[in-house]
Amino acid sequence: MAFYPIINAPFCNGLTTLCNFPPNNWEGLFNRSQYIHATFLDNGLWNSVYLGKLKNNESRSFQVKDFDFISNTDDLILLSLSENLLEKTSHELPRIVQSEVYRNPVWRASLKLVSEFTETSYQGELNFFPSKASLLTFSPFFQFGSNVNNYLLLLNIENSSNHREAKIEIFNVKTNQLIKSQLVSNNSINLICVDDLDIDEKDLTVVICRDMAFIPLYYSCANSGEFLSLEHSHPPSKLVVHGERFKVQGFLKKTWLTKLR
Amino acid sequence: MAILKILSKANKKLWQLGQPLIKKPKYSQSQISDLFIWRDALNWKTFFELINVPSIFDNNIENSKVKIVFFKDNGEEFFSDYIDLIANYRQKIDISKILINIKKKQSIGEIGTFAVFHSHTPEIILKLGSYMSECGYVSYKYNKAPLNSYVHGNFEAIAYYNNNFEMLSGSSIFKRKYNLQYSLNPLKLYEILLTNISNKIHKVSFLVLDINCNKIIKNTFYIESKGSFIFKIKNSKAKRLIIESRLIMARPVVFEINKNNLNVFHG
Repeated sequence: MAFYPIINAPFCNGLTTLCNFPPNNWEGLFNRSQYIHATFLDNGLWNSVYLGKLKNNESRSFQVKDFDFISNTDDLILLSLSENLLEKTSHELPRIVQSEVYRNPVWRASLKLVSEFTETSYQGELNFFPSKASLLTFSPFFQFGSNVNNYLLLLNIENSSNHREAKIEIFNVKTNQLIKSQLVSNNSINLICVDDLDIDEKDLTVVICRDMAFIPLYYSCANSGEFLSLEHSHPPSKLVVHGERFKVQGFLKKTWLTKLR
Repeated sequence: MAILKILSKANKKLWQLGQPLIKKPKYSQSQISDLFIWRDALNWKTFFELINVPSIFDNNIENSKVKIVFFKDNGEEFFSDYIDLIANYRQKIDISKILINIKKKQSIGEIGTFAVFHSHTPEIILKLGSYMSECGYVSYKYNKAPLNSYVHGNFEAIAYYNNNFEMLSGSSIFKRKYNLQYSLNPLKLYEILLTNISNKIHKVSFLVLDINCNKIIKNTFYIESKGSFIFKIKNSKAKRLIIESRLIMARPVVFEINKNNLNVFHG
């Protein structure tokens, strides 16, 4: 089952709201209390801290500042709802038990970025990625103007608590020219400022990582947080439907990861 | 325990049999699109991020274009046009600019839906039994904000082939509840936009609950096929929203408005 990260970005604080009621009434009739945990990395292990029970039909919000007992709050904090108490420490992500599985849509939380003026959000969840995975995503989100900043937030969790790094690369699709590369880590929210890219409104960019997968979030802010926008891009498999769509995705990844050398 | 599991599986079948969220189009050459929401009013502008998707698959594909089709909130088609695609570039389409000339000739209202169909399906997609699907990115500008608020496409809603549309979602035998897993803020205005991606007219009830799950508002409306509906919430006790209908998945687009600020997301 999924985790719900508290995301963070410049000019904002993250705020994640968990809801203990199911997304629909036809894939199950879930109506029980659930345990809330925060899971984070410490000393090379996944640590899970019990935060209380959330009764049926209740919601509860969390911010990074609620976790002053964590030594490094820059690390990713993962919230969860479960019917079981999680192991306190583990090398692999703790197993979350929920007796009913929802798919249409999946059980999600509100993941917000809140500035002193406003907020932006999406409904999301985070499952662990296999360690042998890659990223290819086309990114028509960057916004332009005075006092506008753009960031790419790359969210990754893997089952293992072992730390590893990879390189993300941003290319201009027209010229196939590399316009930015940066080292990124697993089990993290990686912040990439893209204000220094030499692109304009007509340039399409593609973000790739050959050795790690992410949920790519695009965050724009204007006037130091007065206005915000946040959305994630689709994986290539969303460009098609039905049939062997994951083979289509495989074809695209192979084509582009070979072309962009 | 085993009996409970069997009963639970049988119960799920009742909700699934002959009630697909997204069915296969009749024709393998069909093009598929989400049913995106356009908003056009004094304070609203809509944009669509157009990408030459066929050229992403095959760089040799030239002369690609899209057909963009607009529907009123009652599902009636009122305009369509072709837009040439430029390979490897980002084309930000100002939907409000397209609508401005049409509004001079006919009344189209302030909300509706639109679909974007590509002219060409790359060979690899056909070979693997898949369909091209435009579920890209819409953005909205509210008031004079310096930023657009982005939201991604959601459903493979409508297929197009040989001048015919085919709605891809089924209808449910039983009424379903879609629970928005979001805590409404009583100080903010919510505009909940719902589209009907089935081929039938649907009765839809919007239920607003307070913090104790007491029903404080229930309004019922009809949404035509390809149509859309806007439900507004500004209530000091509003905490939760449930959408009850025979739509398979009544997942709305939520516009959360606080003074000059807009937050838009899929519910």
